[in-house]
Amino acid sequence: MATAAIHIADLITRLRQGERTAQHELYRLYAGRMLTVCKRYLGNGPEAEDVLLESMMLVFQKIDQYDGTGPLEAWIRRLVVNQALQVLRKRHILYVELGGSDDNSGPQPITEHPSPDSQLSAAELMELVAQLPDGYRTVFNLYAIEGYSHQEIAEQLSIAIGTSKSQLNRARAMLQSWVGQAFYQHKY
Amino acid sequence: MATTDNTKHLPGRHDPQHPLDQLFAQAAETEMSEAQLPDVDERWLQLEARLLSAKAGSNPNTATAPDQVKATAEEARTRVLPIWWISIAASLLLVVGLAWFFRQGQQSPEASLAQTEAHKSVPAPDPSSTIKRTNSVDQNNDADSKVSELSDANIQDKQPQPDKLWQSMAKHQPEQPVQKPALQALANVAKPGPSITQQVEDVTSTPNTTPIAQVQSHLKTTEYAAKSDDQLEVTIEIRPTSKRDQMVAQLEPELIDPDAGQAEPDRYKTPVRQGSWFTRLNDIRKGRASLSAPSDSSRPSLIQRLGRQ
Repeated sequence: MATAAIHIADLITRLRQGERTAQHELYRLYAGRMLTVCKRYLGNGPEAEDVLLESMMLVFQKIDQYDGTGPLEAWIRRLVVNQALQVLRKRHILYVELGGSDDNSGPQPITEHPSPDSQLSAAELMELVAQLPDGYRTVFNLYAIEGYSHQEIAEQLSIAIGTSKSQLNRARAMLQSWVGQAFYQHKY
Repeated sequence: MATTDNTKHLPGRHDPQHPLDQLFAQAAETEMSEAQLPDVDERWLQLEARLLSAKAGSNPNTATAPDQVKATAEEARTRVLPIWWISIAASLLLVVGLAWFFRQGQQSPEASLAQTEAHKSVPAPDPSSTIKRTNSVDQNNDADSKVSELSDANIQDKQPQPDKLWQSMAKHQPEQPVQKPALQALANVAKPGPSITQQVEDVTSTPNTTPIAQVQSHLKTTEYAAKSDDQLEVTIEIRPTSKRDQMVAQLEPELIDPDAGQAEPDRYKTPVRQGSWFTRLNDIRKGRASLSAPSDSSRPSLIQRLGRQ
């Protein structure tokens, strides 16, 4: 782990010097992961790969702005997510506001049902996320996976905080329903 | 790989609390850890091309990388090419201008003057004759060849030649105006004029052209004798009328009027006046006129003069 940290620090130093080999190495290290992030927001289209290329270029250009307070991958991931959100803003996604903004409102917790993680793989679960509507999927990805708050999501997507909460609840309800159905299909 | 610790959120991000969120967060991390980018080197080439295009200053989002690089190179070539052409053309113009300047500077002033002289010495063609015109064309050709010879000679011989210069300048001196009266006087001095005797003989032989009144002034004596009824014999002795004429007569044949610069014989070339002395004499002889006294009482009539003799 210490060796890995030393390696990342050296890589960052070389990136700041503009070494093409360091850029190539960074690309080989994180391009696959970041493409997964792009597909999570944009689906399996060419837009995801375009956003990946633009994001990596942005990383090379703004590597001096990385202050080292967090993991490098998290910093790169934030840049990739921001680039994906820019594309989503161009799509003019309609965020339908539902009644009630409480996180506890909506469907019942999935804990009442048998845990589906033993039966469903990570890829299958993420396939369920990809089937959510654009608004639900975006807010769920930002809140549950990336750890954004509702205020940050509201600012990023230029929506109200209540809209972000309702979108999250609707996404959870749908995913719970789909996971339950998949659990029962696997079990029975 | 050094990706284990880097999967954590940035500072300030919350960890998922909802069981469903935790479930999907774990699934996402697992998917990311297992993700492998296919054709990673090929995709890197695309990214590298975009980086080169962005470094060249073009917009990497408007075209694919190889095309963008090619377009950028083409654009740069078209930008540079006119500048090269302009610089080459300017250099050529400068060289030609300098060559002309030095050629003008090396050409001596006498060469220019000789060229001008040769051009001026070409005779103008005579329009009256075709042959002459042809000759004049030949002369022009000769003059041109002369000019070229002169030019060549002057170009070959760059040394200044003051003698040639002076000769050419002397040719161009304006001619002095000829004093015509003086020349005429000189010509008349050289040419002998007719004597008074000759003049009188001319007068008597050609009565129609003789100024009788002027001849009269030269008559010393006049004798009239009737030879028959219809014939009158007149004997005339010529005498000088004035001292000057006497001197001139002695100096024959040089009859020169020094005051007027004109030869004396011109005086006798005036036409004969009608009603002159000979006419009246002939009329009397033929009986068409009487011998009565003339109207002019101041002058003695012919009868009076005959009676006096």
